[in-house]
Amino acid sequence: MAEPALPTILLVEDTSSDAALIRRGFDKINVLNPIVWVKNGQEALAYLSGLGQYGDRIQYPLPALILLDLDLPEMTGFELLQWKRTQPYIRRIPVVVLTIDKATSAINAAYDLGANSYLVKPGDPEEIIRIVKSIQEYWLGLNEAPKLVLRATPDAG
Amino acid sequence: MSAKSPNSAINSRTQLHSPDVFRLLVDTVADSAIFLLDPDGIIRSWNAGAENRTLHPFPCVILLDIKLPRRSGFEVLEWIRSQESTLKRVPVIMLTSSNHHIDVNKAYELGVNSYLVKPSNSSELEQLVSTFRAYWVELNQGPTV
Repeated sequence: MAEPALPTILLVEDTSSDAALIRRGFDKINVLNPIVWVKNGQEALAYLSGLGQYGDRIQYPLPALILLDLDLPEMTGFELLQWKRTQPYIRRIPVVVLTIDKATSAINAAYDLGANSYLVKPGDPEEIIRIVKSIQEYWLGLNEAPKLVLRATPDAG
Repeated sequence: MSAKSPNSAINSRTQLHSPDVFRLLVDTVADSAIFLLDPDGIIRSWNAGAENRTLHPFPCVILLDIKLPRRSGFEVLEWIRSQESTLKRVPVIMLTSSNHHIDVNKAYELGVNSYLVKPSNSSELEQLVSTFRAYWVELNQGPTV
């Protein structure tokens, strides 16, 4: 039987350059977990709900961690948080907000809607590596993730 | 130990559950207003009223064990999240010896921010405290409580 796959990280980020920096950051510190990038809240919702192509949980397993920008087109990060907290099982998946917004009101609103943690994207692109390293150390290393069926196992049962 | 110090009563009881964890946390994060409290300690502290905030400041993070006398960590977590006040949004991190799936999932269902399993040896524990501090004290943006 094959080794169990590493848990997937869902990156919800509308700015391509930021998404690229974050992904490069994970590459640099040799994180081998698959990182799925979606560009807005709607697409994240579709992914988490398993709509359309995302119904294929072998190719698109549920993530063990969500990195969420707040200022997103169509469906904001706040709206996604609001939706997510009403969803059975999915609501357990930890969400780390990763945004440029430092406003206290945004921080409080995110926690009130169930965000697990709130990180501010640094202005200096190089600093993103440091943030990504902390995310890796804490959320992929130390934290005990909720136990979900993250990936369909076709040969199970 | 003076019985008049409000924290000493809480601390002495907490030490019954996790002496090593508690000692390390105090050593490492004593300047950061992180408290490791038992359920009654939390409730007493929060109900004490604003006039006692000098003695009982709001913590920026709560570390919570599951197996506690009288009220379980789950009950405390549920109580925190059901509050009308800003207390409901304080980050709560479970720090427990249980890595059982049922406990982990239940904690997330009840709105825990993170779940840590107490390591069995002290060097791993020091590493945990150091990583915890770097993340929750130095990097994370906490809510206003």
